[in-house]
Amino acid sequence: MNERLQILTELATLSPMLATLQNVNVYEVEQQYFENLPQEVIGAVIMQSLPINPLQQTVPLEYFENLATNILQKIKLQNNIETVAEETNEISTLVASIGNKNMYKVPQGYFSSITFLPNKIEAKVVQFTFWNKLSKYAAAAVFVGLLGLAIFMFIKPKNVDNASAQILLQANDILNKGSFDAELNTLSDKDLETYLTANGLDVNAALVATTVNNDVTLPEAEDYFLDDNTLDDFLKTNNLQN
Amino acid sequence: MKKFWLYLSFAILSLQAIAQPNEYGGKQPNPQKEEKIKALYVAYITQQLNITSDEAQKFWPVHTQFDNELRGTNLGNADELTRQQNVLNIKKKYQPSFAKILGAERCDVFFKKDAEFRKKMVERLQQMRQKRMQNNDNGGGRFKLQP
Repeated sequence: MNERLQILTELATLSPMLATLQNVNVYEVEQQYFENLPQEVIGAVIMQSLPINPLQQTVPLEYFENLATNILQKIKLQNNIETVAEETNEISTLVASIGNKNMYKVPQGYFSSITFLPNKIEAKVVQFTFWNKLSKYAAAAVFVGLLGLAIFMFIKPKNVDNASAQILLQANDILNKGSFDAELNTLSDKDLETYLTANGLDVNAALVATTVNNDVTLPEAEDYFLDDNTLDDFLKTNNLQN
Repeated sequence: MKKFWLYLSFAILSLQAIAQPNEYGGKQPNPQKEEKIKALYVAYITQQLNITSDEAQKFWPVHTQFDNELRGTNLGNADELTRQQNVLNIKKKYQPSFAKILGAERCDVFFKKDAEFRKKMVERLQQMRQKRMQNNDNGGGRFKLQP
């Protein structure tokens, strides 16, 4: 409230006439003033900027018929250029001076003076000697040998399986016939020795051990010192050595 | 030339590898006879342990592996004590497998009968040699049997 009074007092001091005016809007707008305002403004601007009313503008007869020719003639008249040569000369006098001459010429005998192929190099001649031939055969032999070994190793397990089956059948046959001793008698001492050796047995030591069990008297200890052949003689005496 | 020596060395090494002494200490076995001894072994063990056909189907495949490992050990160049140790280790290794098939008691019997079969073979070998030497003596051999 105080602020309002202060403002009115200050206004009365500055302009008594303004201070007496009532709070009434003095500016009034005509009816429908803003309805077509944008169109009217644009129309006024166009009318002011164009020298001629576009609606009244017309193209002369055959205007586009010779337009290109007319433009070129106008340019030629401005630069005073009639031909292509004159234009080229205008752009680059150096290029114009060349004209239609072929600038790319090869001097006489140019290609004949150039050596295209390198100097002939003699290849190293390797003599095919006897050893060379032999080495090839040796390599082939080694290859075939290894191949054979590989095939043998591949086939071997099958044979082992077949052998196992065969052994079981034979064993069954022996049991059915009760022919253990008869079959054992068909084996030679070499067969038995080979089998026992394969099973890690020292055959001679085993034979001596068997003899001892049969109460055969072994040589005395000093006999071995007195005679190097004591053990051999013992084995032979007891019919144990081959 | 270098290549030739290389090939030659390779060939010699290959031949050496092939010509390794076999598991019979260089003696080539008669395959049929070897098979027969193995059949005798199978028959002997089967009879001694009363192995049934069901047990046999499980037992012999395991035994084949066991036998192969033993032969591999016997083929090796290890000294005697190491060889015996390896043999024992293999037997211990397979003991649970055998016991699972045969039972603990029969498994123990198997190892005894296994050794017994070899002893039987040794005895047979001894008989054969003695018999042969007797025949030789009767024919004028150098040595005579002690009384």
